[in-house]
Amino acid sequence: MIDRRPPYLTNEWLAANGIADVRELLSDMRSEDEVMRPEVLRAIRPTRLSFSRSLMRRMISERWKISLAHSSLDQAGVGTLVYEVSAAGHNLHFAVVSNAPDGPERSGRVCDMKYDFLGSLREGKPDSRAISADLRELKEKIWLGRTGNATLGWTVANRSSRFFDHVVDQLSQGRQPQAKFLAGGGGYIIRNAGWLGNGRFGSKSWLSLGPDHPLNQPYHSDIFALYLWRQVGHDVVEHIARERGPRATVLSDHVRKSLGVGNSSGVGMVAALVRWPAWLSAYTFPRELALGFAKRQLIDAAAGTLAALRNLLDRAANYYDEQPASPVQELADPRQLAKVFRSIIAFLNEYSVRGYKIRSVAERLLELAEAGGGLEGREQMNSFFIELYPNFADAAAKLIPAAMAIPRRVQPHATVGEARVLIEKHFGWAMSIDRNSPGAQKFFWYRSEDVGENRRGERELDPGLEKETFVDVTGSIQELAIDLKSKADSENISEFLIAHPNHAHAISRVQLADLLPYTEIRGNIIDAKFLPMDGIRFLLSTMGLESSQPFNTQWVRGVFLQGAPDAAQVAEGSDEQWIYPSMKQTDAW
Amino acid sequence: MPGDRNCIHVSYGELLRSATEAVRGLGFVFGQADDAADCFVWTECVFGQGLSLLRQADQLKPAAGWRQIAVTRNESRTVVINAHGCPLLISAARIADLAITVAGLDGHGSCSLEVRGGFGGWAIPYIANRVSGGKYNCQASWILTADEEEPKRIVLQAHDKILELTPHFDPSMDVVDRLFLDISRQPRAAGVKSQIVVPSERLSKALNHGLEVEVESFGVFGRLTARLRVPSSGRSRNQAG
Repeated sequence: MIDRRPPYLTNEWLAANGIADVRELLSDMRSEDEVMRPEVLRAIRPTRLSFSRSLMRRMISERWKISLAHSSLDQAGVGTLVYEVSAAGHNLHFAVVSNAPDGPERSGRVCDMKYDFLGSLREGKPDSRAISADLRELKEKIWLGRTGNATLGWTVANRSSRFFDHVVDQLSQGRQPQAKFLAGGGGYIIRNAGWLGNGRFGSKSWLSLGPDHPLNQPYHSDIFALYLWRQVGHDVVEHIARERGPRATVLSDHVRKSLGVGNSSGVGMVAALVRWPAWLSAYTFPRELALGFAKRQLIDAAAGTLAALRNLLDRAANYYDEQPASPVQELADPRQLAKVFRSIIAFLNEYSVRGYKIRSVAERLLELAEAGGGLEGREQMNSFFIELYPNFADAAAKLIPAAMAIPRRVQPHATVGEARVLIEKHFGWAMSIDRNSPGAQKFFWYRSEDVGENRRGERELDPGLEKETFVDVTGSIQELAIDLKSKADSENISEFLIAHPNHAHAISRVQLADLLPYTEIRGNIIDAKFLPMDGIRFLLSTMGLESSQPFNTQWVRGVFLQGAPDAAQVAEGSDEQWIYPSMKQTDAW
Repeated sequence: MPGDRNCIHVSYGELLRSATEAVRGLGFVFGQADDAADCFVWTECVFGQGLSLLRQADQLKPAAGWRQIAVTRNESRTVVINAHGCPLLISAARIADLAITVAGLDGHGSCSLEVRGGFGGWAIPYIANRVSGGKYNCQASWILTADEEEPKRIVLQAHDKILELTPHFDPSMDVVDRLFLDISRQPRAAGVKSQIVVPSERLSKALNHGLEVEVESFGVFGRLTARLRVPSSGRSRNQAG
């Protein structure tokens, strides 16, 4: 249950979505204590509200057109490509440098200085002189380069060599790639290595994109760059195959769609989640709102809804069956999840025929999913529920920009007494953490001289503690509480902060938490037991990463946009269901 | 100026993203730097002087470390703040919030603040603007040096988030001996007959088109943020993931 209503949840929005009683809706939502625990965040799966899903919906509904306007690739696929994008009356272009791989596969870290692909996503129609200047700056200086307001961002990517080469070899011999082989590697041939936009290197600020701009929704620029890399991958492998001889063929529609874009993310994502509490709330509240709504609807689920749920379970079971397992023991085996979903299909079949005396079908299904698949099974089931009520979920997704824009500022009229009450009300979890227990302050986050790459060191061993990146919410709240203790209840916060300006950030967080639910990860992030993958997986799921298999507990890899309609289908306005694609549906399995 | 070889195009988002780190690079802790970052970005976008505030603070940083501002006297509705040796950039938000709070006490709707000895006068418009955001008028005046018998001069007025500045408004001096802020609900009769600045328009321009700043000034920004970077090593490289 949630006890406060964010300001962006307006009466107009509620009325437009058929909600008569907002308190009832809030009461159906999960509590912050339940959702914001690290192990729950780790298990949360992508939903219709994830940014890749909302972008694809927009691209399809507006029938964006993406066309290769220029290619100067040589036999090895080295050269430049320029794509033109027509999106709802707005022109963009994507200029790409395709380099020759030179040695072992690149790691794709931000601290690298060499990448297989460099790209610049720019406003307007292509202008060859401007493109040349921009790509030269990117190619020669990488992260020391500068660009301008016409550039939405720079992006880099690498070949996933084994799979990229396999696809080229197969196509050049007139055959489709072996789907099972590709699935074993995660289902991609290109790995994203970063999107650097929203002002970086002088690029255009995302906030300046107007109301009609096709990429004006949060993270849609980032995800669109991923989509473009996927297209580049298709075009480059087909080009190289063609150059090898007349027997070459092109990717089948099924393989083309089945290939996503790989991604790896490290500990910096945790720092980002902590840094912007309003954003964390924005990622979470609309999703929980949609979930609360869906679970209430499911109490009297219609036969059609249960059929749709069975279909989702079936697709997901097939999908999970093909996913590689992670070496991290805290994660559920994908095949186990597949098994659980099939057993739930059997339950639903029985339920449909005989009916059961159960309080709520949603709760029963969640119990079954958790019993067999742990928290991951449960959270995947929650994603299915949200999927069943697309209109409400899509409306909830539209709340996200307004939610992210809520400012976090010190409210100066508050008193010390009021601040104390807010800490007790919203940060009891932080106050109850014993920071003196063994390992409670083991780690610190920092940014390295290697292009500012985020890393996590040990307080007792590593240098740089005085430069640590802020992630220790628990510590800052506990220290604030100590300094508030000696003050009178009636003292103004603004006066308190003159003497204790170091608490300005903590005060603003405390006050924000009274306005917005779900602003904080409820765990001690610097504790030895905290697993960075919990935050990383959560943020990646919010972005839309469908499948994630951590290398270890602080480095998560996975795939975006697997199954998404290709450019031709987008231009046609394809409305087919694309999530949880199975690569098995091909002759080459 | 655009196209000037000594200038570089910088985006609003770029400044915003690294502002807190740059202020931390001056030696302030995160909680304080995060609070001060807004003043830096605002001042750069509205007056093109945020980077100069950073540079000035870096040059005047005491070897023994920064002192804190303190409320030294609070008689009736006049608050005296001792800011000797402190950059106003860092305290601007706190001073403005204190002014709003004191003015709102007991329903008076007015107060006076005297800030002694702070430096970095280009932060004053931010203070006044922030106060005006609290639905107050804020009139700022100053005495520049203690040894001169100059009368206090009104230098700017803020109301409804609009600034009126004296002609040739230039608060770039190292130290403002005494800064007076008069806060009231009622508009002041004696306006500052001079240039009008609408900060929201300049912020919007900076957001939409970016800023052209001197290469050298932007270099200061880069050097300050670089102070937060930790040297790399083989062990360190494994700590990314």
